[in-house]
Amino acid sequence: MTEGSPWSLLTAVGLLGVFGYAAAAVAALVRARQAGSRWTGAWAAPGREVARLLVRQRNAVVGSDRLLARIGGALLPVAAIMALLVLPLGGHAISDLSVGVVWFNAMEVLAWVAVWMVGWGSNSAWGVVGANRFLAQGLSYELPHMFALVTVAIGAGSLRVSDIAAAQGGHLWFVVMMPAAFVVFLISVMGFSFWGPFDQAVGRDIVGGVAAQLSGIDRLVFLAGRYLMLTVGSAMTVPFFLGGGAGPFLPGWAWLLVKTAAVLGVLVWAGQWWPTIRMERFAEISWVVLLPVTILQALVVSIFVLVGWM
Amino acid sequence: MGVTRALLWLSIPRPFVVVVPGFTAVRLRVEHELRRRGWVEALTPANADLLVVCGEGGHAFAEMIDLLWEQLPSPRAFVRILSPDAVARQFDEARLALRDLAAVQADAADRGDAGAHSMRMDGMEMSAVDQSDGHAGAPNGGHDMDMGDMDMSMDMPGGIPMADRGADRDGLKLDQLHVPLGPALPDWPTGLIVRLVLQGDLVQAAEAEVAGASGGPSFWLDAEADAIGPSRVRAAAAADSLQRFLSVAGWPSAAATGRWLRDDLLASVPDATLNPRFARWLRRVRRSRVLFWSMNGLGEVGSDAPDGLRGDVSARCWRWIDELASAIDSSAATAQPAPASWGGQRAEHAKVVLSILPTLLAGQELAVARLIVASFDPDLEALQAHTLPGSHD
Amino acid sequence: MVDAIVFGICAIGSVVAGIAVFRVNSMARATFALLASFILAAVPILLLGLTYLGVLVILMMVMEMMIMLVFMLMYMMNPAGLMPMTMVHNNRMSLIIAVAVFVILVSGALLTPWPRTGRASAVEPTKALGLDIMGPHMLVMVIIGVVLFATMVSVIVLSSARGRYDRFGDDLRTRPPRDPVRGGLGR
Repeated sequence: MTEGSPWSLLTAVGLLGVFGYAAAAVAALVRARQAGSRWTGAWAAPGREVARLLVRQRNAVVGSDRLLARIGGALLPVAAIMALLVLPLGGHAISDLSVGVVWFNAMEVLAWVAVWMVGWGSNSAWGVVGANRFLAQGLSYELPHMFALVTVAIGAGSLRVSDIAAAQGGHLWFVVMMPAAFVVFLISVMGFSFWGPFDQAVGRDIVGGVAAQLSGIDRLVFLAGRYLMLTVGSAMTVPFFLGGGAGPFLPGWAWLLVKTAAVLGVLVWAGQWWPTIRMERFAEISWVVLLPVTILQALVVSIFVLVGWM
Repeated sequence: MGVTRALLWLSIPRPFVVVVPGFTAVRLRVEHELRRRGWVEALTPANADLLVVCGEGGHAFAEMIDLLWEQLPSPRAFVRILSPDAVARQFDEARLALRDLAAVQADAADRGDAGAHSMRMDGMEMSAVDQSDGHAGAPNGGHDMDMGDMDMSMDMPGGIPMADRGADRDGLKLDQLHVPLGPALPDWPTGLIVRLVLQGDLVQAAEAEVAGASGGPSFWLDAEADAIGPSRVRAAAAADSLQRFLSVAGWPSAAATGRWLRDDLLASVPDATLNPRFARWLRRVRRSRVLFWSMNGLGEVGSDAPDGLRGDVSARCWRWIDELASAIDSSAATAQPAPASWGGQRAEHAKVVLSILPTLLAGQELAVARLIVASFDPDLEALQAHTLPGSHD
Repeated sequence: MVDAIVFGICAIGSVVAGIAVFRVNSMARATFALLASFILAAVPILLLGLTYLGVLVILMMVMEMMIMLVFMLMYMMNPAGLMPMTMVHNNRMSLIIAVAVFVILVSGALLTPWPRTGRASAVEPTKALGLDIMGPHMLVMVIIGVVLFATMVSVIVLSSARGRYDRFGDDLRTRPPRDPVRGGLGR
């Protein structure tokens, strides 16, 4: 696959869709087992939900800002696909920017815009509360997340994602050298895809929050975007922390898929293992604990680089 | 039309369940049936295709159900269930109705977009932002519109009045929304209405009331007399409250297991041992540091309240966990001593909760307010059973 | 050629979006129009080959606009634009000043003798930027950064209605502090 050809973009988006569906299917399976329902058909549950949403009417609330809601809903999957452009598949990224790390950061920050627009555009108290909860969550995880990305770039000496993956070949992976940054990165992946313990924006206590008034194709696009963001975040963990395509026996792209599946599995498990964390409590932890920890982690890695250990 | 028919056939219905006070038996059977079929409940009418009404209420409830029905996008079906035995059959019929392409198209033909109807100003408190929010369907018999000094002759877009402003705890003047946490809210005590004045997501003021008079009996008190055994019934009631609480706390997977436990407790004989998975589940809930860290110090109730309500949200949650522990872990060993009059105690608790909720909720965030209400889980049916003349204990 | 077309689209687009900020009634839409204007103004930076700066500007602008949005909705009237409202005040004078400033800036941009290098430098622009900041200008950067942070913190502390004595009591010894909301660490 040559860099930048339309064939690799289609493959990448197709794989993204497959993994996103797999995440949804595993989540449905786990939920069915824990509820004591029939779980044999759970793998098809996301597909049947897609079928249901395709025939549903859209919802229109009086006085709602439909333009913003629809732009926001469409923006979420588009941001995920744009973040995918810098992921090195089989050694080549579709667009291997020299500042791939910053590009990824910019694309996942678009999720703030998307989720807020959908929440605001629903003209519902629940939607507005959910949208602002998401902004509060974003402010909490974003600074530690940026420092984690900075640490990764320091360790590899480059902002290019393929350079970062290559820098871990033959050496200790970054997950060992900078574990705090790894944990913070996983937290932020759950944060920007409002998944698991960080799903306060679409929480049950505000009856679905941002997604409360979504129906039909709008809902399908928005929730698909959520799974795509989760998958892209898991996929980016691999070149950043887990050595990219490094590993015995299998070719690079196969290892990438295996490792992505592993990280995705961990995130799906984490989603149902812990209750939702409320932002009024998490904000203090993120600013008082996570931020100093990530700054210290950056200091430690900088010293390693200066001394020559990395 | 072959594609539409195929897609309709493939879809799994998503029901929105509305419970009328007095029909808890129907609700429990509905939840059991949904769990058995693997149907996931919808959180709002906008996402639902099946409106399941458990029971029959008065005129106010009928109005609210009409409002909810309007908000369901097509394809949709309506089910009113009056007895627990009819649940399975009526669900099958509803499923067939949803797959009937001709009926679905006829229903959709004379609607515009779902929910886009004009404002109904009679007898309903207006939420300043969104009246098509299904939870604004407050069955309020009175015709008072307490919107302060709103000039109703102003030309409002869509007929929605603008919000009035009020002082906030930081000295700002922010818009105030009147949001009723109404009777048709998922994971909400049956028959309770709490009217909130919200600024942002902070509750400025709250009022609690009961929605209509329940015609039916109180399920938990009646079930005590059955063959299940009183300690199992109390444990099932605790499981019911705990699963609602866990759902509100954002832990739907644990809540689902809680429902399963409740159904098993209600279906079992007094001394039967329960599935060991429930013991594992209870251990996990008990040891969840994240859950108790996030609830520490919320909703403190002082010592002037009855024993069962004292402490913060965590303390009340622990009481349910202890009740369940004695039912699960030691089936033959020491069961919890039966309180003198369990039914009277539940009624007393509900009455006290209705009186202290306004002070407890003022100044709290919306999530905390819902957690506080979920930690009480007042049994309003027991309250009505005890206050209505001529009813049993 | 492609560069010129993209630049033209971005130039016209950002001006149109900027005008839209004052034409729409809704505060939310005004903010997103402003965001669109900023992003379209950041794309020419990418065209100049300054990839790091361009993507960074987009990243920063998105985050800043979302935070500004929260404050705009809190403080400004008519956040949803449901009532028709004029957003501009003192029209004539502002227009005169705006046009005058525009003329000055455009004449400066077009008439200044910019240095012509003719080809891109060998060193990566990001690295060159970093070396320049960390080298002779490092002292300035560090001081500015710390001063900005201190300013932000002191503004928030000064504007808060509750002080130390409200939180910790008259003898500053009450632990945990009396706050309306307990934080995650119970400090």
